[in-house]
Amino acid sequence: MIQFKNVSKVYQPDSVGVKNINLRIKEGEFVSVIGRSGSGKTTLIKLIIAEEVPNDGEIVIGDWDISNIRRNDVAYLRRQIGVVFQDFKLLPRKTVFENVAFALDVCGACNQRIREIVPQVLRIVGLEGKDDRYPLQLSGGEQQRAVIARALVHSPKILVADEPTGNLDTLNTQEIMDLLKKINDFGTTIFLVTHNREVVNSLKKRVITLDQGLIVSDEEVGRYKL
Amino acid sequence: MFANIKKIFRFGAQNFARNFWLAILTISILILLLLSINVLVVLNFLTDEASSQMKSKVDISIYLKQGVPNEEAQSLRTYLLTLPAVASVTYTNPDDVLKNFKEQHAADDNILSSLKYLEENPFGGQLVIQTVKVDDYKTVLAQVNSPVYQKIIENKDFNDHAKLVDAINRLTGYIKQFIIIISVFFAFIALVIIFNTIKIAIYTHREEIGIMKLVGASSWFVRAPFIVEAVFYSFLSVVIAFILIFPMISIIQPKVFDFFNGQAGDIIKYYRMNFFSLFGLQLLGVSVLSAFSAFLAIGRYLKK
Repeated sequence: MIQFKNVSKVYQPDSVGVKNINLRIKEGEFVSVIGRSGSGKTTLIKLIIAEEVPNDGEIVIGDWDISNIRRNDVAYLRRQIGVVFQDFKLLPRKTVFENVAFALDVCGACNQRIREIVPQVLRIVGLEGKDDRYPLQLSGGEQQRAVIARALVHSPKILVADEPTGNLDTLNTQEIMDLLKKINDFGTTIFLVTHNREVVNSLKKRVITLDQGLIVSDEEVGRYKL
Repeated sequence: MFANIKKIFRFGAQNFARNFWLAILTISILILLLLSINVLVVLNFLTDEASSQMKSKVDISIYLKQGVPNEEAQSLRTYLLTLPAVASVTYTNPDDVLKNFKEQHAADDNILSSLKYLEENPFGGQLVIQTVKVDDYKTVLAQVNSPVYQKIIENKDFNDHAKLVDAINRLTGYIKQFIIIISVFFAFIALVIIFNTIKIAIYTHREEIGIMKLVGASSWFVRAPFIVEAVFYSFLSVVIAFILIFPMISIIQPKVFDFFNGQAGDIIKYYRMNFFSLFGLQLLGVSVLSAFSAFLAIGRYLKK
């Protein structure tokens, strides 16, 4: 599903994002990426969603080589990859329904499709009945659920989550992780970047450890080892 | 496709409404610029009117020799009328020339008494030629310089007029150049104003734009609402400017009529007759500038 072949990303001569990354993530896998700050975790996400292009190497998503993706094609790539960030990125003046619908709206979906899909994804993430609330009227966990719902509206094959529990308490963290596992059970590949030891250890899934832009460990059933 | 266009217009209208005060400020400045442009349009019209008025008074006078028979004078007149460059030819016979001369110098006793000493009319007939275009006078003069007509022509008078025509042409040329330079300057100002307005609008929407890009909106879908917003500004400013122009013209119209003795300078009529082209060109010009400004302003937000 995701393949990195000798991928390097250097921002400036002395600032390495990632170096010589070789990685193969299978369809339906749940992969956690851990590492200290500046180890290259976020660079990997940026490369997957084509926010950055590699200096060297090849990145293949599905059968699509996105190493030198054209700017106009980035939109089509991102409709196949759901993205969840730590800081939610919800629009405060829009309701939960509108925030989720926004992802379809700006991609040209018709209103009928929006009315069908949005309630479905809100049900999946457990936000049914809260669709008319504004983000500030929701808890942190609920806001992150809304973001996950927005990421799911295009039925992505890959869900990329960059520290999705970074701003959440233990209870909400557990709920979000349960939700991600549920989405993974539907067959969606999850690429999770996290600092949370308990989350990684409880998952008992594949763990990739980065250090200074290099993969230093890649275990099928890994634990947090920093 | 239609649904997408509808959405783009909806987002554009939302942007416009959310930046209402900024929009009012931008539209006000655009209206001032458009009014200034229309002052130039009026100036151009009045220059053309003044120029054509002056040119219509410019003619060629051909003084015939004394004693040239009326038939020969009429023959020359007929020949001149066959020339494409000639609009009209007026012949004045020697008796009328003398009569006009006396009327012109009625207050000059010396001239009148001198005429009395002469036993016969010292004047020949006179032909006054109006050309189609004032610049055609050279062609007409070249035609009457042939030996056939030279023997009956005493004198030709156009030298002073030539200088006048050159002066008029130079003046109108300078005014048109000035108008073009000022218009380009105004267009540049409009470009800068709209560019900055859209940049501010984009800055206030940067979070939304980031999310749009993140969830897979195409660059065109991100860019188009801002272009639509800029075209809204253009449309409203041109409409308001044209609503203001007519009362303003009404105020200056009587003075312009006085200047032209009521014979020319009908600005209202000019605007009515050319309304669609003036309105359309200004709308097109400002819209293209606005759309281009918005296109440039959003560019850097679409790189990633």
